[in-house]
Amino acid sequence: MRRVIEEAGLVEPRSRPWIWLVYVLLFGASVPWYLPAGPPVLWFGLPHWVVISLCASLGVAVFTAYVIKRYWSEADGEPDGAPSPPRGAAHRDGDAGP
Amino acid sequence: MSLTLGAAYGVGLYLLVLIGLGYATRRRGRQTGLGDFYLAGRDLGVFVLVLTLYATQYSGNTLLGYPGEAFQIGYAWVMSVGFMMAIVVVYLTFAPRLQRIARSRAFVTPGDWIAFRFGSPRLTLAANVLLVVAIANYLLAQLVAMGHVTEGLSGGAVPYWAGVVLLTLVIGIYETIGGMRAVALTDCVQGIMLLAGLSGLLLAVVPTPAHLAEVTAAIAAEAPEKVAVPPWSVARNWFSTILLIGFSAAVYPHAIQRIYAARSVATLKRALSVMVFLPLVTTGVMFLVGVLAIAELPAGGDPDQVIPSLLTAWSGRSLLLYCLSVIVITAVVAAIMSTADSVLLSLSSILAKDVLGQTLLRGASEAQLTRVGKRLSWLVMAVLVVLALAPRTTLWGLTEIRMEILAQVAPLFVLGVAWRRLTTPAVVTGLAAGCLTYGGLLLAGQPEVWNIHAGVIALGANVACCVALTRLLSRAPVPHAA
Repeated sequence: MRRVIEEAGLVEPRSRPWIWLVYVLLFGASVPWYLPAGPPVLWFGLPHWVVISLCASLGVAVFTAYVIKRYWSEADGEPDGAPSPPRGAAHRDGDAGP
Repeated sequence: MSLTLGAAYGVGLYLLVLIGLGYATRRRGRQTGLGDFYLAGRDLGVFVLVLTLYATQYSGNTLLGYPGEAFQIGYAWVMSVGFMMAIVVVYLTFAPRLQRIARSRAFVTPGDWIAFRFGSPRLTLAANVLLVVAIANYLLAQLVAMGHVTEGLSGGAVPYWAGVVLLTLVIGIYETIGGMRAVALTDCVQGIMLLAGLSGLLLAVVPTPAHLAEVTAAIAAEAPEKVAVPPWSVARNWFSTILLIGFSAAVYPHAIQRIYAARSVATLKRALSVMVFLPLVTTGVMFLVGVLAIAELPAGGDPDQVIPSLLTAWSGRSLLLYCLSVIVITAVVAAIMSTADSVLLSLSSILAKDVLGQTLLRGASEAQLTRVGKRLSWLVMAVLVVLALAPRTTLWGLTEIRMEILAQVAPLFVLGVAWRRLTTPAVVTGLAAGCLTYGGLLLAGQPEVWNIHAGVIALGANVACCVALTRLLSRAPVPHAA
């Protein structure tokens, strides 16, 4: 499937598993489940876990902008490269289930 | 001049601008076809798309409800930055392909995709019912916010009901005149007002590290649990909220329609690249304001009145803060109205095209359906105004209810786009399992189980059914098609 998409010049983020692994790590880092309980240290006037969470969120934003730029093709047409079929022919190219 | 009078001038001027913009858009486009009226002719450029997505995504809940949440739970509300980013991340799973297919097949509503992908009128109707219930709830939340903001900021001089009725009336006028073009254009003004208001708030609170350290120390002395590293129970709820908001807000019908309305793939890409950074300067600022309010306001107050109370207090301190407060008040009104108009437009398009257009008005022309949609907008507004006059829960409470319903529709877009083998029977079963699980948990008095939202647990059941049944059915021998 990925090969077909790439041959048609249509690259999409959903076809790259490593992208989603990075997201799991970044969102995982944004929630302070891994820090020991107790009174916080202050960084820039804020509890340290808040600053860590904001940095991880900034990481999500920067990574997303990169993924959109690098892994989202601007080519027109559908993933199988076929011209737009009439509505009733939707199932033929495998887009529809039944 | 009192803050009430200054705000009345600011908001009054702003409302006149909105009506003027609505009238101006009437001359552009025919406004008789569904694609023209509801999707602005599928020609939204980057600037307008970013601002309309922004103004739509961030609402009265963001400006009134979110500081209230930070005021109640403390620093853990920094989660609002992450969960708003999760929405854009979920878009990456389906928006690229959905936009291409939507353009080639001239989709207008989210139901068009569901009908095309799954070929089941019953499934499309069921999904539309869920979408309508969820976004009607969303619109109701905006009307409630309109009442709160007018009543709170006028010190009770403008009653709650008058705020709800007046602002709803203005929305109805410009939306009926100009459709999506009017909504998108007014969203631009509203988005700019929102950014100006947030800048005003930042200038008003002047959060230097030294000031923040004082505030944090003061909060730690009064309520240490609002500053300490959150326990595992809060972390679980945090993860659950990221999943809930990410999957449900990504399938807002009005957001899906903006994907359809983008001029090109490049336009949508650029818009989403900007959108993903906006939580840092939007929910991030509101989080900070809510935390600062803990130190300024007495504990136990109404969380939805945090911003009105803060602005009233700040406006008396200096002329600069007075002017900033007027800008913020106008921005709050702008945020509420920009979301309400988009939701209303989406709601009327679903009711006219997918519900009436498939039943009582089957075979009606696009011009007829568009006319019916405009009338439905007024009917929907009238019903929701009546409901808004007796609000029964907080703004965040209304948000959670609609999100948990919307989450059950997410697999139709996320899995429907990404997984070609996904079958219609599996999706129907998944949707039913998700709704039954959610309804069952609510009836059992369990809105959260182990700090995880009932809607997320129901989404898990929904996805599990989709995957299990699709795999099971794909192994079964396929009978010969006729």
